Amino acid sequence: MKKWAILLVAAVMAFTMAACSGNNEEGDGNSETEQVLKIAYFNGGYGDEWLKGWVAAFEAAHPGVKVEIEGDPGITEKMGPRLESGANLPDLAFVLRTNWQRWGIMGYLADLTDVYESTIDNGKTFKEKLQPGAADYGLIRDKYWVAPWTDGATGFVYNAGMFEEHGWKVPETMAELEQLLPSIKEKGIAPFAWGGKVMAYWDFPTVGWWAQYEGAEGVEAYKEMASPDVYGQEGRLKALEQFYELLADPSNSISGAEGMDHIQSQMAFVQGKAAIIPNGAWLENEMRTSLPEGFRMKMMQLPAIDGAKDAKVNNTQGGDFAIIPAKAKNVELAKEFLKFTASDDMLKLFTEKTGSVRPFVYDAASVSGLSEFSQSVIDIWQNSRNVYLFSQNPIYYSKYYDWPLAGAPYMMIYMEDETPESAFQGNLQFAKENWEKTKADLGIE
Amino acid sequence: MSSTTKRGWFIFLMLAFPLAHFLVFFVYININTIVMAFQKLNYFQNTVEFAGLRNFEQIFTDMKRSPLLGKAIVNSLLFIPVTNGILLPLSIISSYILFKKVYLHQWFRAIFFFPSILSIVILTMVFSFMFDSTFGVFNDILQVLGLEGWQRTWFGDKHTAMPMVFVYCIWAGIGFNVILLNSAITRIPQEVIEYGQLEGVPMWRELSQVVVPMIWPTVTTVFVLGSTSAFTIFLQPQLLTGGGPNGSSYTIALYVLEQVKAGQLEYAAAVGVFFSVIGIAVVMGFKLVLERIGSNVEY
Repeated sequence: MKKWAILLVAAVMAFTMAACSGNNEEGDGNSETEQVLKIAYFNGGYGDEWLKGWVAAFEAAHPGVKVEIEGDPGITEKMGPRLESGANLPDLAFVLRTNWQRWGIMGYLADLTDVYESTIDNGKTFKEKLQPGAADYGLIRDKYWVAPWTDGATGFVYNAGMFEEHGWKVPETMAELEQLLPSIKEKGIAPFAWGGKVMAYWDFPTVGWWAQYEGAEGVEAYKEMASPDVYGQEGRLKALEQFYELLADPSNSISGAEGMDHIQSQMAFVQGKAAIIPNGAWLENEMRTSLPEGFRMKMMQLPAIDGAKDAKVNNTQGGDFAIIPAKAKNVELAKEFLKFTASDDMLKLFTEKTGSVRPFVYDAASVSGLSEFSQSVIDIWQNSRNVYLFSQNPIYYSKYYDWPLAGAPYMMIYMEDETPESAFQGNLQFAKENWEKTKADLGIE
Repeated sequence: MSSTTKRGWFIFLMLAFPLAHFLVFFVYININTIVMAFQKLNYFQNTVEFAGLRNFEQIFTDMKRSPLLGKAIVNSLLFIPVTNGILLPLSIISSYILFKKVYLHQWFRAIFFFPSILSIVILTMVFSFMFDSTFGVFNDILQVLGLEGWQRTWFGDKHTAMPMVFVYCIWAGIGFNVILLNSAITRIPQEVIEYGQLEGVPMWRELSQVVVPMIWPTVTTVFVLGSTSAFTIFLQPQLLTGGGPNGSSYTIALYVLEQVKAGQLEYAAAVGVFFSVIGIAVVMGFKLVLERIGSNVEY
């Protein structure tokens, strides 16, 4: 009896330990010929139809391959520990923007340079097909470690039905937008819906205003991060001032905005409680199940800030990416999948399923069946100077980002703990005081 | 195989898993964290280098320049008076009321215990719905009472966000404390209680001079656990307020988590080690003081 008890305990322990080890052996497939490709992805605003579409097409084109997908809204946070431990690794992962450079430097990622150099279709390589501004996003020291995943348009989304019903003209400048605000409020509608728990959504218009004011040269100079003076660009201050001008009057915002998250604010917007919301290309897909019958929305070309050098700017907010872990079971198959998804057909499939775009040069507007909202997104994306705000300078991506002092100051300014001027000066001062020390810390000569 | 050997094997097998778990998830993780706190990643040489005390220096720099860490420290330290000055006395009184089998005591027992069996995600969701500024019942009650001036965005106002986290922790934490304290009270010898009753001791005196001294070791345990939470709590503010608005409801543990998410692993490790050392000293200090105040009752 005792012997059986011991054997039972041992079996339970062995089973438990095996379960905890999280190795990838199970990914070998059921038969000798079947290969299993495991893909983890961020399951959020874009849903999962795009990936299921790719998977179905890939399996049809690659007999003997089975693709397993793992959707998780928290995959970005979990990816770091999974890469570090080497346990429970997918073969390929689509995650949100994060400091992937650290993963590349630590050797956790497979080198994707051969993917970038592969010919995809129409005689063009993966790299040649990428949008110019996104082509070198995944590059560190002559090697590519990540592949850009999403692109799009961000800024202001407006209630198109409401605008038409009241005869409001879609503003082209911020002066026009500010003139429009009293008319919106007269109807008992708040001009803006936003969520205090996701103040970073104000990056969408604010970065756009900064890029409008500084023009292409200013944006490129900023991305180079040659000196701390880039944090003193006048456009940064003008953008913050513009933000404050919109929200200084509490009646411009929906009631209770400070305590809302993104879903709550978006819900208020689609319920017609507000006319405009700072948001992005994923909004319609994210709210698909909650859209009231007949609700119509569109993205507006970001109204031009006073003094703009370049009015037609789109802050793409690109930066979400795909990686292949260096220790993945099926690195080569995952690379095949990445290349496959860069073909024109698969790019269009992504647009069809998400209503948004990928950072490749392709005719997204030719996709049939797109909603009015998606068409407005693609129109802005195709007819604006797209700004991809990422720098290859380690000072930027490992320490400072856009607001080195204490993160984006929108809430501080809204609550009047800071003025636009003090937030701007504080960040500039911090960058100047700490620049050399930060360089030394990062090992930059 | 002799019975002694069999017994040895049995003990080994029974201990193997918890021991392995302890070694991997406590010893290894903590040693790794301490080592990491003294390292930095050189982004140009692709190496992890010894950084001396630079990560710890950064903590003091951030305390001066960044309002976030300062707020996190103040909020975390406020958990000590909140959990021990408000939650603990409430828990003791609640446990005593349940022990005295007052009218509707079973209903109260269910009310107190209910939050303890639900997931924190569900609890925080329910709590945030109650106080939601647009459809929450609390603001509606204020309106019915003619107190519209008191209505506010409870989780979005910098003056109320952190107090709301405290209120949540009291509401959700009382059940766990009551479980511990109530079981301690029920172990008090019945003759001690009966003696007091025969002497006509009023309830408040019975509570303060009989029950509390008799359960002092448990009170000490609850006090120590409550003090520990000051340095470990992060899910509650993360789920209720996201640390906002403007960082006004950050805690030390949430600050560490955000640093990890931002990829600042070495700095996060240093913050964790630094505040763990302080936390251990504070909590052990409380424990020593409490053990001196009350006697270790045995019965």
